[in-house]
Amino acid sequence: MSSSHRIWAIVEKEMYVYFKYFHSEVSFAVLFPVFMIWTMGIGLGEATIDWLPEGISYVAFIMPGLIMMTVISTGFFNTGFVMMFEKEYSDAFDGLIQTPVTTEEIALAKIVAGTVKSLINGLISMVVVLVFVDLTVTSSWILLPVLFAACGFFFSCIGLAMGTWLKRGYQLGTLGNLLIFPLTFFGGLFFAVSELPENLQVVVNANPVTWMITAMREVVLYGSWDVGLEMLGILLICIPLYLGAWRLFRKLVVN
Amino acid sequence: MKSSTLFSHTATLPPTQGLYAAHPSAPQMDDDVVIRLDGLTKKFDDLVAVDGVDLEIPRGEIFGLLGPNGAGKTTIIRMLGGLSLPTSGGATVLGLDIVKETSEVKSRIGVVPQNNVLDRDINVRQNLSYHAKLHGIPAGDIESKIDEVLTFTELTAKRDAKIDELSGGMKRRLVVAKAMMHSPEVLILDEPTTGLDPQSRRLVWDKVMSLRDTGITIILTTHYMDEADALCDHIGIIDHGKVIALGTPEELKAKLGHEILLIAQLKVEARDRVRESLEGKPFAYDVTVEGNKLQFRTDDKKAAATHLLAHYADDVETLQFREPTLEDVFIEMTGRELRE
Repeated sequence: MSSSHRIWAIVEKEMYVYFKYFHSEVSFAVLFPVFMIWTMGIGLGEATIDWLPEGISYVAFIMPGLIMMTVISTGFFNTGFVMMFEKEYSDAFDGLIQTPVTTEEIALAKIVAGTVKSLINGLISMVVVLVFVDLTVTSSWILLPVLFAACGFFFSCIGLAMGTWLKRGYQLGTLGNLLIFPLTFFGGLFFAVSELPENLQVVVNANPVTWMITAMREVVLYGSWDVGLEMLGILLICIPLYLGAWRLFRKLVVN
Repeated sequence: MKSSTLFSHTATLPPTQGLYAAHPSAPQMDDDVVIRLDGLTKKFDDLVAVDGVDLEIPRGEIFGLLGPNGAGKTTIIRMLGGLSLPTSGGATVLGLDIVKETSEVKSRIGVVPQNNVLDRDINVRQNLSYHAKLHGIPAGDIESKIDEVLTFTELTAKRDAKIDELSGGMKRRLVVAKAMMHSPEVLILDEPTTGLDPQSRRLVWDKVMSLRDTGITIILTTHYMDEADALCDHIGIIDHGKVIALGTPEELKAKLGHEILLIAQLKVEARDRVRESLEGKPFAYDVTVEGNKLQFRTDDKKAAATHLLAHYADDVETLQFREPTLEDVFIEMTGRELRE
């Protein structure tokens, strides 16, 4: 029995449960962009924003960041809550760790499952946005699944670590909100980073979520393929994030 | 009898003669010991949960691990199952080190913990199938193995039922079925019948005994002394993290000597008077009173009965002698103090 078979068995079961409750899982991916398009459309109307690139509305400008927020939230909250509830409120987790599957395999499987869910929710959000916002689909859009997967993996690692460490749902909710909203809001979701004071741009540009939103915007709004640097940065940080999440998981699960 | 004479300083059992089926992949061991604990110790901060336990369990028998709450039974089981790491000392299961070869140990043992380790998001068959996949059972064998364990645990009719639709007894049997899916050579049952009705308990007993007859070595923890007496070939009593007695149920009961229990129902107003009359008498030990029931141990049945009937005939309503049970041994060795 190979390690990959055990990992696949866990991912398969996670995905079965995800699709079993698909209607609730997907509601955020659908409703969040719809709500934002609606409120932003009403709130801003035809207002002119001088720093916007020519031919791009403000609603279109923020859409890549909002879709990325769906990906990030799914990775963090889904992986985190699944882990925390299994560990604290379900006996099934004890059954899982009694099998020959290793802590490394469990951690990787949970993160991969979170990544796939993030990818699916991101693609659903993308489709929803296309219904309401006039965007030109270009060949570089083929990068989107890769980008969603990388960002989903990134935040699934953090979600797994937090879900392993924390014991109560409200703790995870509070921490998630404290983490995700500042990171995305300071990641250039609602503004162009170039419009900030120079010293603040240094801080904002060090935020990995800025790389995610920038890459997304480059692909979706400008049809660009030039997102290699952002992708490399995200993937490089994924390595220590995964190792940290796994070590914390191993330490707290087997003691 | 002084309690100290009940303590056993040896924890090695003779191998049980009987049926067993060696697993094809079983490593060659130099003897027939399946589980060996060597100074196994577990500390949680300042609390020593398991304190240097040495123990050897032979192949093919049911070994009972008894002890009050917090004695260290479940901690030992968690360490044997690879769910908790020893602080010091070690143990082997089927010749495999529980720390260095954890995955291999897990693949060859089955664990039925106190809680029902079932996934409520998937049904009965899916729970078993998921477990089988994690144990690497070939896909083509999974359905037939599911049929086999469901038949064994008499749950075939519930094959596609949701977990929440099962009764408590069915859930316990399903956990046993799950633990049997990968044909373990050692089965660890941690309080398998707690909370079950008498019929379900008897069914679990039957299954445990039939598993033993197939050659599986079984470790059983329980708070039901009648269960331990009925099922176990050998019993270890553990308290404060140490093994304090070891032997067959009969050997343990014999450690109380030839004493028997005398139980007398008295008129309430005579209770204290009768109890005081027994103080210092050479034929009465451990006199206790609960309600109008007076109980004491004696090795001189005639003297005890004569004393009561000669002096308190009008106060004694009933008189009964009883052989010591495993519960008497347990209470004698671990005390009456309530454990939390």
